[in-house]
Amino acid sequence: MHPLNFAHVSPDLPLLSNLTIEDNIALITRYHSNVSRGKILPVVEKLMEDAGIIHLKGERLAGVNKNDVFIAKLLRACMIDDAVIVIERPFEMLSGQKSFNIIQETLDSIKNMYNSCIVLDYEWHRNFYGKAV
Amino acid sequence: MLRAKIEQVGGWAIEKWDFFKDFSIFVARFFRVLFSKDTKKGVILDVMVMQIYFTAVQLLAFFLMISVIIGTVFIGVVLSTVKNLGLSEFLGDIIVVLVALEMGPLITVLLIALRSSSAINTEIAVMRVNGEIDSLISYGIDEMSYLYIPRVISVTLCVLVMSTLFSIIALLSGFIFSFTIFDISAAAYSELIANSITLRDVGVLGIKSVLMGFFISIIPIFYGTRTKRQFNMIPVSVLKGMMSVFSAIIIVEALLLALKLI
Repeated sequence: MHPLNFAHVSPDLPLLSNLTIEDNIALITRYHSNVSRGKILPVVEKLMEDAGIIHLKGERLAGVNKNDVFIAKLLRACMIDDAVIVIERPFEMLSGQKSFNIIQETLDSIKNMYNSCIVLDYEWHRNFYGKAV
Repeated sequence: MLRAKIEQVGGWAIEKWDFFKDFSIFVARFFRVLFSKDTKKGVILDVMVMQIYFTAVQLLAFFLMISVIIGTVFIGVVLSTVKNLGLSEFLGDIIVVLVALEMGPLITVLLIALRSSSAINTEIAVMRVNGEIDSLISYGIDEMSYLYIPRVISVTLCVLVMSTLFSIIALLSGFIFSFTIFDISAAAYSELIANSITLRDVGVLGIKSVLMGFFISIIPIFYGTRTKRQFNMIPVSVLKGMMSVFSAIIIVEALLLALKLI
């Protein structure tokens, strides 16, 4: 049996407030693979550019809106090799969103970075997903 | 009435014992992870550099100013008292013991505790309440090696280096007063200090600084990790942590003094 590389994106697992957004995304690879900051940062910046949050470079959590924090969390999860991303209660992490589109668009922009994605949500949010369910 | 009092004392003793037990387990885990070959060293070094910057570099200008002011005033008072009491032959010993061994580490550790221990306690407590430590654990990042070890090593190193710096600055200030009060030349002052400092004194300074640095960093971290998950518990955690830091400083001072007297 080969264990799956689950990567959680959840309201209960926030980004670290004492790191910049790019350092938050880079942390997992830096820690597990002992990669230097200088080496991993270009990879993270490319990922942020693809996901449309490159303007957050150098920002900390306090200066970032909820939707961008969600995308940053998604990118952090993608840093796990061959990740099976588990997004838990996404609409709790997004402000004023009632459509799956923003999640789908972000996932499409980084589709090469993960293996598969599972979304776990409440039954009464089913209509937010439209044809995706 | 008596039974209630006994129960109260018993409850207090059990609570203190549990705390001591948990703290000992925490310290044991600290050393196990520190010396484990599986511990990731790369990120730890980066965090250490940042922590040294916050603890020592940002404080350096203020620290140097305080060292000069306190060192000069203190040595001035001590030397005029020494002169009035006719204890001039003990001048070197008095300067070395009071300034280098007692005042240097104590003032350094108090300054760093005021600035960094409280900040570390708050930082860890906020991370705990926010669930940020859970985030680290969920991604397989060991909080002991990523968060706690770099902070403890950095603060300990900073206390060691800065208390040595304080002692050197205070000894230099001592020369100005020795010159004005006792009319001692630079060469005679250097000889006086060199004759009074032993290798044992340097060792005691080092041990004291390392012990104090270790406790003023690991205690606030421990209190931070025990914070209950409510924002209003953060100030309570910092308050208790800082009181324990102060107690630890006094205990280390008293123990080393007792060892010296044995």
